[in-house]
Amino acid sequence: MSQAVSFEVDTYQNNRWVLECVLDDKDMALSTAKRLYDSKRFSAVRVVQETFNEDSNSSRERVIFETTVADRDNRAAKQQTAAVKVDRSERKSLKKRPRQNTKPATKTVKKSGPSLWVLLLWLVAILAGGATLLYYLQSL
Amino acid sequence: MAEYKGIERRLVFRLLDYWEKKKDGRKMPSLDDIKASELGDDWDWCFLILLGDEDESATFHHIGSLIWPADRAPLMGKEVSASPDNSLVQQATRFMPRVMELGVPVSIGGECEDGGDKLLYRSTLMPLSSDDEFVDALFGGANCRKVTNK
Repeated sequence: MSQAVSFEVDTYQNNRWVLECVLDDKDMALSTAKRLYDSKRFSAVRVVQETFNEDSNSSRERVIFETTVADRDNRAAKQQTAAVKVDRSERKSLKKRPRQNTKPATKTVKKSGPSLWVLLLWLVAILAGGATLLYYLQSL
Repeated sequence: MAEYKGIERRLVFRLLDYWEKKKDGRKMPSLDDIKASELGDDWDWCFLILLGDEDESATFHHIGSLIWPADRAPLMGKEVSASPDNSLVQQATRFMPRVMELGVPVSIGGECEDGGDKLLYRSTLMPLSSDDEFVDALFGGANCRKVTNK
């Protein structure tokens, strides 16, 4: 069974795929597609592998690479993320400050601590008073 | 033949880039757009073919000295079909019908025998048009390296 394989590089223009060139080398086709995509003149590019069967005189097409403008945006965003990494660490330290603000709030809750001591003192005093009263009443 | 240091895919890329640049918004550049002075050393790996009108045979308008050495019988002005079998120039032009059919550059690689050497080559053929409608010429390039048996 004899088969001929070629790779078509297409660009997306005006809502349709346009054939740009045909190569018999997959790597070259992929490189060509990427070069065209990087030229930023096309919203998308793709590589279609065409396998022609000489015996049956029929061909089979398969998209082996396709990229869109979204991919480019993602790639650009990724690069920006890498550049912003330093800033992000700075932002983290900045974010820590609001958390510190919440700690004093908990401290204000703890401020109720001394009042608890006062309550305990009152309780001790009442119990002592009660005990003294009971002792006095028994002695009568 | 010249001593080839390596099969240069980059030549094909450079020629494709050049053709693409020369399109300048058109479907394809014209023969006048292809300038030897702009191609530098690559010009010696290039060739130009005039297709003529319908029913006329395609002829060589330029053929680089690294594809067809000057010490051979000149092919300039000769019919493309007259190029020797399995030579580099014959291999580099054999897919002319495909380019005519598709109207886009086509790049093919393979093996051939030229000047007694077995060669591994890579070539490209690109259409040219003076009115952006009818293809009247082809711009091509090819380079190669000797296949060495280890």
